Amino acid sequence: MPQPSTPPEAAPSADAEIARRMAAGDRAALEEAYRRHRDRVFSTAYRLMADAGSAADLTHDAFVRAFERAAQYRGEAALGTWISRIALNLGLRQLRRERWLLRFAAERAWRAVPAEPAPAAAIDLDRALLRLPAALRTALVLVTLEGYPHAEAAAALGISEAACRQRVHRARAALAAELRPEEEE
Amino acid sequence: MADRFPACAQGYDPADASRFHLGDMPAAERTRYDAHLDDCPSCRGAVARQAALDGALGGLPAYRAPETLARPPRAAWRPRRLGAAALAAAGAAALLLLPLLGPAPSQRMIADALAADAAVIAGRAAGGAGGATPWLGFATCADWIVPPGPGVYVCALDPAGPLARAGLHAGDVVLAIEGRPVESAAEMYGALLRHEVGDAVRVRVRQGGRERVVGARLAARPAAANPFDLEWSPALLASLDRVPPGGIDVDSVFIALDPAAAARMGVAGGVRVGLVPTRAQAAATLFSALPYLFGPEGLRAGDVIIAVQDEPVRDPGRLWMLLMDVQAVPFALRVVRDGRPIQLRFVPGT
Repeated sequence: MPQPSTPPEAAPSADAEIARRMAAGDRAALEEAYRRHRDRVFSTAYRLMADAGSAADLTHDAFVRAFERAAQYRGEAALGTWISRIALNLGLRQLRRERWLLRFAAERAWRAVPAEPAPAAAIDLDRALLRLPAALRTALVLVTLEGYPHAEAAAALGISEAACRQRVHRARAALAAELRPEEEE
Repeated sequence: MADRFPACAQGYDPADASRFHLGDMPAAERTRYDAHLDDCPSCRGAVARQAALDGALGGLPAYRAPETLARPPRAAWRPRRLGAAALAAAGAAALLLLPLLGPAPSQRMIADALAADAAVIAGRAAGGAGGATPWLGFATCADWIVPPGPGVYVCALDPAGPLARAGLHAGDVVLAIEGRPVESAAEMYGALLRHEVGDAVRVRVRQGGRERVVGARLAARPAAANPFDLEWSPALLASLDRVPPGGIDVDSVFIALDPAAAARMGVAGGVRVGLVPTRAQAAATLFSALPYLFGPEGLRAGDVIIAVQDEPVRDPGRLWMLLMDVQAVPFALRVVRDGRPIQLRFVPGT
């Protein structure tokens, strides 16, 4: 199982310093955190929601929350990861609230553009991921991409741990079927 | 999910390969599966693909936050009734039609969406009080599905909303707000954002070939609405049943709520299967993940799905959840076709 992909982030001490300054209300610290982490937070939110507009909203809201609650940052995770988790929590809440609308968002979604050209195989896999039914995609994003333990992901999704595992396996089976032959051994 | 790899003759599911690969399998089952792998190229392939998937997932592209996020947030946190995304989506459809009818966004729609987004963010930066978004009380929809012409087509109307109170109906067209012409949903929302909920505005409309100006007091836009509570444009609903020349293509199938049709058939609700005009404009839906629903014995345009197994279906969300639950087992859909209730049986994967 892959480790959750963590882009280069500031050293823990730098994270703690930025959080400390944010907690003191320093907007320059917010701007620094924003500059460093907004792409990471946006990418995470985008994979969860499969819609760039929702992801942009969540990114905005997650940074507002992070600024307001910076005093709660304990340094257990990198700051970018912490803010991403705020975005994921907000996103899951939104999915529950707007289940009716968002479960149908799969194909109407406003697509984001990758930051850099990626291999065709990676683009295809990414598209397949974004096309997954929300129930499968959210479980996969939390567990496989973000490294949540099953119990935590299940609680966040409001389902049993067994159901969460099943969704992850079904999502993985669906994605594996989309892999191009050259990626197989 | 369509699988282009051969199925396992012993009936193991590709998800079992994931369970095996991740060690999420009881010891006894694992031993059996391991032995089974010696004889089953299909499952060996599935396990190999699971291993390849780990690497591939590590190489997923990163995204850059869009231009609307160029600046860090300024507004104080407040729970919003309406996200900028919902409004951005309004570039094609305002309230609920887009999730049902929306095509992949065109450049134009994205430009509209960005304009709407920018307007919302500008409103935020200006510290717009309250947080409620002014609304005329109707849903728009993608421009390719409405009759051509200037203005913003009223696809579905809130019968208690401002325009309904001003005497409008679904199918009418909004041409201008306070004298400013509006050509897209995004422009209309941009124009409305100059006003507050409760303000009275003059709206130029076209109704049955005649133009007039009506007064409307702006309401607060709800986060969502029950489609059965809305008045839908009859022309729009009629267009949903047109079968394209090439016949039914899974990619061109979508579903729409049609309360009027459901009422005519004497059912309390239901989810109608409809068609979009061309493949290029198609809104592929959840059904593209469930292609077997549209086999020769399967769903047709115009069907109204009223139950999955014996669970009644009243909205697409419920249908979706029910279908998610039955994906692995044979199941039945109860459907009203040509006015008569029938039962369709499905075995997933066939």
